[in-house]
Amino acid sequence: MKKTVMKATGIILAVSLLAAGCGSSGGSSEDAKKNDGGKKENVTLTVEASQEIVNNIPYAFSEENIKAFEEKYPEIKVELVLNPDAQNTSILQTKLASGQPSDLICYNKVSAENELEIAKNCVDLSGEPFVGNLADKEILTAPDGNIYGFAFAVKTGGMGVVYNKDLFEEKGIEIPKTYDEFTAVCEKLSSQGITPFYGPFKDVWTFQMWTTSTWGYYAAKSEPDLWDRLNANEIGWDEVPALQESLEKAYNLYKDGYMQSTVLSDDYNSIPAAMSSGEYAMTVGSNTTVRDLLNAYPDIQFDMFPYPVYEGEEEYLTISQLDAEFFIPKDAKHIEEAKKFLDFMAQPEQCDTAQKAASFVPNVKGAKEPEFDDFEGRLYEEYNKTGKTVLEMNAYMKVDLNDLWVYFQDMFAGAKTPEEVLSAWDATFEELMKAKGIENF
Amino acid sequence: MVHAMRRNRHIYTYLLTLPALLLFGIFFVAPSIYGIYYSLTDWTIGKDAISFVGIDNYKTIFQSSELKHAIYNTFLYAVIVVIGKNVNGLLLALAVNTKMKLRGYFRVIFFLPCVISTIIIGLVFVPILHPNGILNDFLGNIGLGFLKQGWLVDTKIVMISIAGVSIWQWSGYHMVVYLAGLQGIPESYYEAAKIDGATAMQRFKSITFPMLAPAFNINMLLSLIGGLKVFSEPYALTNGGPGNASQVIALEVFSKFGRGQWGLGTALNVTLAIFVSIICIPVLYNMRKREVEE
Repeated sequence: MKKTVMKATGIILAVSLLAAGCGSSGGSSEDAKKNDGGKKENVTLTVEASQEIVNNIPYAFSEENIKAFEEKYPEIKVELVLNPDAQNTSILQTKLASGQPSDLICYNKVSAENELEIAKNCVDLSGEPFVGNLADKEILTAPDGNIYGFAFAVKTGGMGVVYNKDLFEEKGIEIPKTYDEFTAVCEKLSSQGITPFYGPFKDVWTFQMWTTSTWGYYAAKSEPDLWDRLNANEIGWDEVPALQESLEKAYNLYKDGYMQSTVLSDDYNSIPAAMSSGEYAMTVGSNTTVRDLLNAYPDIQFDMFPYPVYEGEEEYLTISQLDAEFFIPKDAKHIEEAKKFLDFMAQPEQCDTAQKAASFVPNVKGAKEPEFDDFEGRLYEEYNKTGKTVLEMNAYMKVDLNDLWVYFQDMFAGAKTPEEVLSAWDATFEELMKAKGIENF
Repeated sequence: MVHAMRRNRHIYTYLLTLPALLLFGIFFVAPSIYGIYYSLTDWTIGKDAISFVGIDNYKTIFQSSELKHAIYNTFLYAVIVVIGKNVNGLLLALAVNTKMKLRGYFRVIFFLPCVISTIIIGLVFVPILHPNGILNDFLGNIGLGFLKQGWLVDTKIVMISIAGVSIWQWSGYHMVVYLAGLQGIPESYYEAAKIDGATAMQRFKSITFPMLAPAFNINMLLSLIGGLKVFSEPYALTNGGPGNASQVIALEVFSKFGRGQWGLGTALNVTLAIFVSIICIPVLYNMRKREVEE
């Protein structure tokens, strides 16, 4: 009796499972048919970027533009995927490697070519309609001659010493042009009870603004093939005295009491409070830093000047590589929609709208010229228009620089001398380049 | 009849372990073995092909001064927290086991920190331990200015500071385990000892401490494993900084994985597992021996 009941239950179960299976598969194929014949399928277009890039390049993510795009293409919904800064590179690399990337990736141009292997992983957009709208095609062209993405701006942000202009004027201080003048300014401020330089070096990425700028400047002016030689293992990082010189000069500021003693406890977010307090005169930063300071404290004037580190050289402003370029991965699910997105954004109207988020020099024909704040306009006139700019070091690197940045912290913590920083980085650099399979390592 | 039942029971047991064994095998044993295999390869993010490199990754670990420093830090941290949590936990347990007013409230208060997420505790303690933070201000105000430290930025004491925060957080947890042990000791033992004229110290030495052995063992083991596998405390407080001063093995594993050095990261992980096993298995073995004796 029991056995029969068991058998019966088993059969019923099996049949119902089969039925359920058939039912679901039948249903889905019917759905598919409906979609083919009828209305267009709804698509969610994913745009992936780091938190930092969205904060620093607000014009590339103008909400108004995204809304306008969604109105023009009601079947497409744009979704922003934000990654934490420290993990951004590896998240993107992993997604690309596993064939499951977002539909659009926003990344800095040269870094993308090196770290994300754009030529291998992304769609060649050279033939897309938006390329015809570009004011400067050259700047978007990859080393292989193709265009893999779109970026709103031509001019990119500068990096330098951010300073409290009011404080300088009040104390009758001129902008220093050489390192000697710089230390003299520090001495003068220090004697009046002001800490000359605010170091927000708790964040690992902040001090590197000093090195990527000064080293970039040194290479551009004195050893143009330096990065090629380092990347080809023809020379070691500890064999370039000028690199060590810049580190020593920064460390000496700290050692001589020209920076606050708590450099390793204070982070980038503490800059506005410190710089507006009148207790500090200068700090590291970029256009974004100055703009944020001006927005937060409209009553105080802030500005920026190039790092006066190497003696007797002409002043050049270090600019960062072309930032916030949008790429379409080859494995993206919605390549056509992503192309529509780029074509839509590369219109003069969209550039004009994006200017509302932050001013930039647009790379689209017919778009309005930007209305710069005082300081950005002056920097643009003084350095960008006259060609007195050099590209930062980071733009030439093929590996993640985080270890180097950690060694900088070691230096301020007293665990490594500037010389040891460079020799430790030389060893790590070799390991990283080897792991990437780069020749000669 | 008895014989049949016994046989039945055997068949029953073995068959029923099969699904569990299968799941355990698929989701634990197999990945672990794979992990050991991958630790012997040069598996990195940019590479299309994974190749076998023998013990190269392990060589890298024991040749790199930074990774050796992380291993040293991990052991240092483990030793400090094992001592700190157990001494503190035991003292707290003894205190709240006495017949005092409000002891229920004290138990709850001491236990509370371990309920809070370590990340939140990190966020709270970073400003407290800032060189111009509450702790240093407090020390200055009560005339102990000479004790002021750069708690989280001085490379010499940063590991001790992190361990201190962890001891603060987890002492209450260990207190509860000790308390359970203490309450399992029959009151009559103490009464007998008192009649025999034993002092408080003697009672602790001859009754409390030996009778607490099981609680002591479990606390030792838990704090030791926790100490060796430490991750969230340094992650929240310093993120391994300043520089590499407070790097521990698990943080290094995290950053190696984050940077796509999967082979090396796996090797580090295997190393950590071996360390934990070498240290904890003998402790566990001893514990079980005691339990059998009791």
